Amino acid sequence: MSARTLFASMKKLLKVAGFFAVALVVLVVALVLAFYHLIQVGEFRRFLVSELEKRTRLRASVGSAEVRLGKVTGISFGNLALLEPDTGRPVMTSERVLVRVALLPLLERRLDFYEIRFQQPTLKLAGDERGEVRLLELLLPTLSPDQEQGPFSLDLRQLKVEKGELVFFDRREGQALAPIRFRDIDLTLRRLSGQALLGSPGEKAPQGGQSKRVGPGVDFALKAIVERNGSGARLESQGKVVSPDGELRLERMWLDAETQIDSMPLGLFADYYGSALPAAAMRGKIGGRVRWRGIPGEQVQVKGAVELSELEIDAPQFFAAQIAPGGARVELEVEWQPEEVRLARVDWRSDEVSFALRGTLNWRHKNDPELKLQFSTPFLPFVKARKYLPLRVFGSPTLEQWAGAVEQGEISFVRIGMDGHLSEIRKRSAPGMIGFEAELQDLGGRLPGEGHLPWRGVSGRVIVEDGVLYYRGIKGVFGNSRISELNGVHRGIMGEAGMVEVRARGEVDLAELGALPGSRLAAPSMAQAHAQLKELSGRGKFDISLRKAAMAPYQAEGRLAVESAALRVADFSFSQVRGEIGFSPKEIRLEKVSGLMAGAPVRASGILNLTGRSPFDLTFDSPGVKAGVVAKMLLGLGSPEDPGTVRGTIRYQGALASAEDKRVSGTLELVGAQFPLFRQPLRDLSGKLRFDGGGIDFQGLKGRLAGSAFEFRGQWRYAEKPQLVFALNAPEMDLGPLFTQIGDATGEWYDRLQARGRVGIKRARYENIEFSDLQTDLVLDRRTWRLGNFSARSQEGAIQGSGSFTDGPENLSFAIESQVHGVPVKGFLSWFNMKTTEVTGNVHITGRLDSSGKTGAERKRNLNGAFHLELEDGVLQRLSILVRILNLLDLSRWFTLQLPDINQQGIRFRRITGDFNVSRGVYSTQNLLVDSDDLRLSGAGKIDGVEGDVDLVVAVRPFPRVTSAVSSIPLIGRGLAAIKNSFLVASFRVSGSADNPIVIPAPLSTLSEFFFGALDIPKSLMGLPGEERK
Amino acid sequence: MSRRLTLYTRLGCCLCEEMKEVVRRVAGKLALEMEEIDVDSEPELAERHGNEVPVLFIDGRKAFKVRVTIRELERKLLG
Repeated sequence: MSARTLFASMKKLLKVAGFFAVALVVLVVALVLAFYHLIQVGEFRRFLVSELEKRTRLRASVGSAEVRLGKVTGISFGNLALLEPDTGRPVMTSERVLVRVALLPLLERRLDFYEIRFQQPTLKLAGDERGEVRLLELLLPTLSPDQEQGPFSLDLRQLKVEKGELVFFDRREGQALAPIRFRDIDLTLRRLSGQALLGSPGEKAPQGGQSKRVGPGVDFALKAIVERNGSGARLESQGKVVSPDGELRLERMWLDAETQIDSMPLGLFADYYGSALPAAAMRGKIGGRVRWRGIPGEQVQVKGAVELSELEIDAPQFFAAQIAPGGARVELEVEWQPEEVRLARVDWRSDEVSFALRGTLNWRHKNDPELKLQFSTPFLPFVKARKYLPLRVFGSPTLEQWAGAVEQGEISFVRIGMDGHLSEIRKRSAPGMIGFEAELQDLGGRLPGEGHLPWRGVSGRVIVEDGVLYYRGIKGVFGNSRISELNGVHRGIMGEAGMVEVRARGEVDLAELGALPGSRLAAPSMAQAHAQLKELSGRGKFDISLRKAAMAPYQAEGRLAVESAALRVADFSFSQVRGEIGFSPKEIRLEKVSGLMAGAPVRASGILNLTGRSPFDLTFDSPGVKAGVVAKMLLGLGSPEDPGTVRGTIRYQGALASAEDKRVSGTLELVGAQFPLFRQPLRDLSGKLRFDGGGIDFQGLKGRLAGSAFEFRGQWRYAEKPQLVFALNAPEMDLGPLFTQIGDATGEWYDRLQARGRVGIKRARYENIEFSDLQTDLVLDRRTWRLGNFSARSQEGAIQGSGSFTDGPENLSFAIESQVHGVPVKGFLSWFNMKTTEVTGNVHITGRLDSSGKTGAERKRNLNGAFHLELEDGVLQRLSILVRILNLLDLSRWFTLQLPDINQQGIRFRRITGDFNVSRGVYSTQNLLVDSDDLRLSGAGKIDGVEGDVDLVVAVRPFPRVTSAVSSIPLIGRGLAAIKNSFLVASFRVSGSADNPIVIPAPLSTLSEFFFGALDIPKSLMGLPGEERK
Repeated sequence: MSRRLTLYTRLGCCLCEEMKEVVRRVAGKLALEMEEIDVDSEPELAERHGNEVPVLFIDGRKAFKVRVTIRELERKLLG
């Protein structure tokens, strides 16, 4: 194409364009003129007010109008007000309202208004009795299609609010809530076309909407800031609202909207919907995006995600304390109905917990919602999840206590189900209303209080169903004990009276079993046995069923297999204990239990009766146990280390703590045993002991006491007195140790001992007394030894008699009545630890003596009694008293008759006799007589055996067989008399120390008739004392 | 020929003392080599013999446990 041709074409095109431009300007001018004309007429104002009043049912007033041309063409009114018809109170005011005009109808001199814009309107609305805002009911009618009325038609297709403000007052009864303020409202309502009303493909149509005529509908876009009590949130919502049946009430309209909220105070939500929630208070902020579909008055589906922040909930009906998850995200799919919410999906995720919630809540009974809910969670850290567990619903202190004790581990709720009215659930009026199934994983913790063991690694399943708590496959470690599997039920966990049935297998640390407080053991006999248990260690495998009925103690049934256990009962230790222990509600049975007691093998069998009065029936047998252990166990004597062996069987029946209710029987064989029955223990004991309920039979016992061998047989009868009847024979024995218990603090057994027996000892010794062929009846009655029919030989003499010795803890007392025949003086004196070479002869004593005292000296001082002494066929040699008397007489000098040399040969006597009374250790006699061929001596006076003093008057007649004497005998003082017919008599007073006495002549007048009789001197020959004084 | 005796004992065991005394007396008449082992010195020994001490082995073979008399031991050694 040439340039000329191109230029021609452009010129033509410009001409056409210029024509259309001129035509357009003419048209606009025409339209403006027409538009202006119509407004000026004022009919339009009336039309508009009329339409607003008709559609909103409010009174409308509109200020002056002006035409707007430009980007937006329309009519602008000032000061629009919609007033309540009755009160005249403004519902809505707007400084300016712009009504947009359709241009084309202007050519026909018609005004079609298709959009109203409220600029900075202010609305004041009150909620109805249900708290709902009827904003849409106010605005939507304005978008209803119009019927033409003259030159005007109000065919609004769009309504806009710019920078609006709405204040909402709640009118609900009993509420005094602060108003909610919506500000910076930007709202666009656009009437929907028919196709839009039907919805896009794939969308669910309004309920019933496809089969009925579809009424008016709008789509909307809303932006606003919601404020209350100084805090606010940004709200955006867009969607559409359709009235399925033409009714323009929001609750009757079908809604399909998406709403986004940023940080709305949850309190605002809680104020309006909190009454429907079982929470006392909720704090925090809520945001998120949800889509709403449905008819609010019938059913709304809500789907979306909600973000919660700073969330705190007080729900004491569910939780023990306030829960504060902080931030959380909730993905939800909920179906709302006026009286019911169906939770198709509520998935909660927060830092601490996650859970899924399904089910329904309905409020058919106001303030008492009915819950049909199912919670489930993944594995959650228990410590964090604990506060979210609605344990208060269960009203079970047991559950709360256990949950509170957990310190570690995870829990997953496969389900938590609630089905019932909240009030009924809380009252637990029907057990099936609540339940849960939880999977535990590696839980650890410890219940507070004494005797509770820490637990860890606890896994398994816990189910609560119909008010019954089920344990399924629980395993874990409790203290040092391990449960490998536990299954069971706990009925009535929500009430006082519960019943527990549990079966558990595992391995127990016996030390922990022993450390259980006795108060937790049901049977008194178990508590009794437990009280005796000082130590228990080792491990055992158990398979046991525990059962606890309401208000009853635990009952156990099963087995405990013990391996290498150790235990200490009182002072007795058992080690390497193994065997099986069977449990039943009635008894605990020891089966094949063996162990070591003090290193010796012991087998035990028997039962611990949990119901009867005689709880124990235990049999122990051993090939050999240390005698000390057995003595300590059976008699409470000695030390477990005491030597010797005891073998045999012992059966123990009855109560452990009560001596009256226990019975010990069995047969024991002693080998080299030692029993500290006396201060000097019985040693090297061999023989047999047979026990029964009545006593002990001692069969062929042999042993040693204080180094002396003995044989013993007898019977011990617990209920009889004396308890012990025996026969004791010994070839040789020192009796001293039997009477030396003074100061012995371990004599309690000896204090109570009552015995009767016969003792035969070939050679015996008691202190310095030596016996042979000792035979005596012995009655021992609480430390008093009574000897009857005593006979023995000693020092070639014989002793007979009886006596008693009281071996008191503080002193030894005795009383003897004896006859001593023919015991040489030397031997006799040796009994009393005395020696003499001055007197020989054989002693005969008949009499009685008694004394008491802690020491020998004390007993000497306390000696009392009376006896007749007779010495026969002896010699007095160098007897100091006699020597001095004879020296005084100086007989050899005065008599031609020759006296024997007392220093060399002594004076042989036929008899020395005397009757002695003993009082507090002082011997007194009035008839001491020495009868000898060489002299006759008589005496009277006292010998103090304690101090060793003498005070005697002695008369001596030498040569009693000589009938004549020298004619004159020098007088030696007044104590020597020459008597007719050559009779000679001299008297002396002997006093002072017995070893070195003072001998002085004494006047004959001091002598009594006894002396003269005893000296065989006729009294008539003597000058009477009275005469001499004359 | 001397017989080798091994006696498993433990501290404080009265039966062990009895058995040792029996062995001592027999050793006065017969030629014996005696070894005494504390069963508690090794866990394995305690497990094997702990509940039946004293245990007497003659030439490595278990002969008696818990008790033995002089006559029984002599008969075993001579037989």
